[in-house]
Amino acid sequence: MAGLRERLSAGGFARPGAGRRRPSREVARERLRLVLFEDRAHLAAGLLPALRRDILEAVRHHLEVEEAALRLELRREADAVALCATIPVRRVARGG
Amino acid sequence: MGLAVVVTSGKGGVGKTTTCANVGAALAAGGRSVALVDADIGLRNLDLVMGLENRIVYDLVDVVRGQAKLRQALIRDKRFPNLQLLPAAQTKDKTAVTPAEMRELVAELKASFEYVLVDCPAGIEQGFANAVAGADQAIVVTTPEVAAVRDADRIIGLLEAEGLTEPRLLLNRLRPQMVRRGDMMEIEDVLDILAIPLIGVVPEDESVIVTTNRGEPAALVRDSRAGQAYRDVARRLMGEDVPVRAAEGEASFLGRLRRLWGT
Repeated sequence: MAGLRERLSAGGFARPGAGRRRPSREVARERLRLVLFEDRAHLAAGLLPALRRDILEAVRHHLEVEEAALRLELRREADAVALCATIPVRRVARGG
Repeated sequence: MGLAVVVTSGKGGVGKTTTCANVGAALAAGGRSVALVDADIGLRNLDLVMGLENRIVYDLVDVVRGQAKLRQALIRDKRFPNLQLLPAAQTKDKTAVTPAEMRELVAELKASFEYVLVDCPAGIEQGFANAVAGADQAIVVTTPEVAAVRDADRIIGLLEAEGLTEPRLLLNRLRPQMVRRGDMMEIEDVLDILAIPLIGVVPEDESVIVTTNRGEPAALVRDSRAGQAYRDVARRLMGEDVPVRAAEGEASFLGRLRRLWGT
């Protein structure tokens, strides 16, 4: 957002090169790396279902969860792709 | 039996047709018999880039529908008798041909030509499916730009799904000066991202526009840098081990490139 504000205060125009922190080549490389990770993950049929199965398998040893409500997604963070799982917990097993 | 190579990219405007014309001309200049197939039905262009646009009588769709014999539709290049073009239809669309029909057509061409180069339309729909049907190998053309590289990645996945598991990359319109000042991805960046072997690097070169204006492939112009790069691509297709020239990219990457070649 700061980038947008800077652009707006500069008259609404992006100024290539002005105030840039690193070569555009590196920015391109990094952005491509992230976007292709997502593209490939979304296209790999069966990746998310398989992850879902394996995560539930691991979790159910320790927690009672609402398996049908598990939400799994790949989320784009600032400089990485995050795998985010939301799993409603019904009950935590007593330790021992 | 010849070798069928599809030239594809995903994104439009990165140089598929120019690559087909130039690699085809260079192969023919090297004494090989070459059939160029314009599979971009409805948006025919390879004829124009080759300077053969005034000689079209029949097209690919006429052949597939049995309205013309293959040899009637093939246009002999005025420079090389061993270079012939099967033009696309201009008035029909991509659904006029099926992948099965294309496979049959390419097989017929392979029986009489050493190389069959298929110019694939942009996109990932039926035109793509048609163009890759019958191909033995694929060349993926990209420029060092984010949108082109992303689409190339998608196309590589689709080629794999079609059984073309070893496509090679042609990096087009590289601008060494921009690479030097850090404002363009370099050869190695693109190779790292796409993870397929390289078949060539073609520098941005005004001579391509000039020669295309005249309908004469740059590959036939001795001192054209892009033409030289396309001649090198043709030699690599013929199985020769040709290193990347310094002019094509950054000299300091040559050593690493040779390793990436996998030779």
